[in-house]
Amino acid sequence: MDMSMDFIVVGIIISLLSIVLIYRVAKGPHVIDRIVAADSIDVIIGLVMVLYGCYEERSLFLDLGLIVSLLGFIGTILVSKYMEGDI
Amino acid sequence: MIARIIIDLLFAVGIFFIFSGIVGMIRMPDTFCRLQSSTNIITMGGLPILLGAAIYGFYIGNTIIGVKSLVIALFILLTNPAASHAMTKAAYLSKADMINKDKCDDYGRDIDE
Repeated sequence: MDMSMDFIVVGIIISLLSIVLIYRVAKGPHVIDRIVAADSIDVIIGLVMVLYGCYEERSLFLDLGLIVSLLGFIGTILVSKYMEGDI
Repeated sequence: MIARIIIDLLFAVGIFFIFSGIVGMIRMPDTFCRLQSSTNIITMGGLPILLGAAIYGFYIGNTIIGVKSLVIALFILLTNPAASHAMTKAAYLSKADMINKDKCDDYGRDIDE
């Protein structure tokens, strides 16, 4: 089963959609708007890495996707706690 | 062939939800409405794509890709509600603008007591 074309098309569509979110990162009137857009971009980059791992049939890139998702989650929680006033 | 149809349908569902979530992120009038659209992107957009990748990995006999995709899906499913909750609480406590048309501020009433 040759599905490499499907992974390429889905990855390119998702990447182009995530570029649109940069508008919200640049413009967002509040800090939380920027954080939300950056978190969404992080998760989408993780998805693209998973798709690339399926394209190459190597599982190394799936680990990279997990690490990117983890770092995005930690950054989101950190900035949220800072905005809340706990730190 | 049937596996390819299933995987492509899952990818189509994921792309549709990511697209609708991004339209919501651009056009919603309020910080809290935009937070709701971001949950739409991550949960309903990310999980079908990861599930399709897991089915592909199990179908071609590469078990590591399937198991790791399921682990990433479980991780996103566990951590995204926590992150959304923390961001919403931070947005409320740092006094983000709330649109005045349909304001229902029960959390502020509970804090004041």
